[in-house]
Amino acid sequence: MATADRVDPVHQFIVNDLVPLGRIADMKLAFQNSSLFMFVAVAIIVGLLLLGTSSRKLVPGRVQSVVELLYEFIAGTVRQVLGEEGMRFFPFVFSLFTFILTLNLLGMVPYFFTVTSQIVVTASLALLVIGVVIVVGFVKNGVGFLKLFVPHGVPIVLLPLISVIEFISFFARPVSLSLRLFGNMLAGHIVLKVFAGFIGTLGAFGFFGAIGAIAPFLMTVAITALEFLVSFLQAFVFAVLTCVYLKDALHPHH
Amino acid sequence: MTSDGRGDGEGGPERPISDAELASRRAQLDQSLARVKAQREQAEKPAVATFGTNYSKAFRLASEFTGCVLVGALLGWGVDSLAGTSPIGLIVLLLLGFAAGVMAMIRSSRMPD
Repeated sequence: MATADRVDPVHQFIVNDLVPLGRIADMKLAFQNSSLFMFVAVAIIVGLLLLGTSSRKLVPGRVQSVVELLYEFIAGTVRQVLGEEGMRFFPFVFSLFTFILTLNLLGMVPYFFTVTSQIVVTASLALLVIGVVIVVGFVKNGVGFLKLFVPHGVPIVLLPLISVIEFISFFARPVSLSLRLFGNMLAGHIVLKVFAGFIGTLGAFGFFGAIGAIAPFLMTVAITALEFLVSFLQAFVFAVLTCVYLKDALHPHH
Repeated sequence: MTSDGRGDGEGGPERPISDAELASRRAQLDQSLARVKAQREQAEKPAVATFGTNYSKAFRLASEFTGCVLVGALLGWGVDSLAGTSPIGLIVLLLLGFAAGVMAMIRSSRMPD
């Protein structure tokens, strides 16, 4: 069947070279569709924020209230988790949140590329977060940061074991942070494509097939709504967990 | 009202209500309040939002567990290839990774949303 062959749910994740830029050592360097969408996302964020803050009215207009809402939302989260001293990390958390949210939402537009479904991108973001946590932790606490791996109230016999476990769970954070965002976006978009593919396949079977195609159609609509929610939630979860990890860097005592 | 010595909050002149009876009434009231509250919350939250929140929570726990096991295995493999203790480091650190995964899941399920 011709239609069934054309439905390829993972075709949307293929990274294409748009402009080849030559080679570094043995590695190919190119401006890819993922790079393009990252630039688009940054342009959208910067444009929105500039537009929203250009007039600065006392009674905010439409764009200004969107920007203010965004600011209040992240500022509230950072204050709640890190306290007032954590507001110095606000620009970091805000950038992460808006970047991921914009990339996720851009991915929801048909025919657009979902950058956050590439584990390279999410892993780089997670490594950035954990790098900041380690640097801030050592700068703020010196060697005291290593107390993170020594929870108090643990008997001395169990300490080596617990320390190794704490060590593993600390370095599992970037892994789980990147896997979660990547997995959510990848799985959601594949499921969406598969159900949408059913519509076309069933529709090719004539009248009764078309009636049967109503069920996957309803499913596609429902999953689209869910995906919008997941896009937002995952960006938020990424931001909140960044705050939680930064809190460990500021106060490494459990 | 029979006497002036009584406070405003006291009950009428009927027989005093026993503590047990009061306790059972309070329990009943608590139950019905909880029921109404649950119903109201159920009605206020759209089904998709509830499902989405639970879905993301489940994903969080799963990814934490997977991450810990992966990191444990990776560390074990690294220790083995550095120290040449071929299977032992991998086995021990993989098991510790499982332990760390369970601990991380417990920790994050205790964390408020």
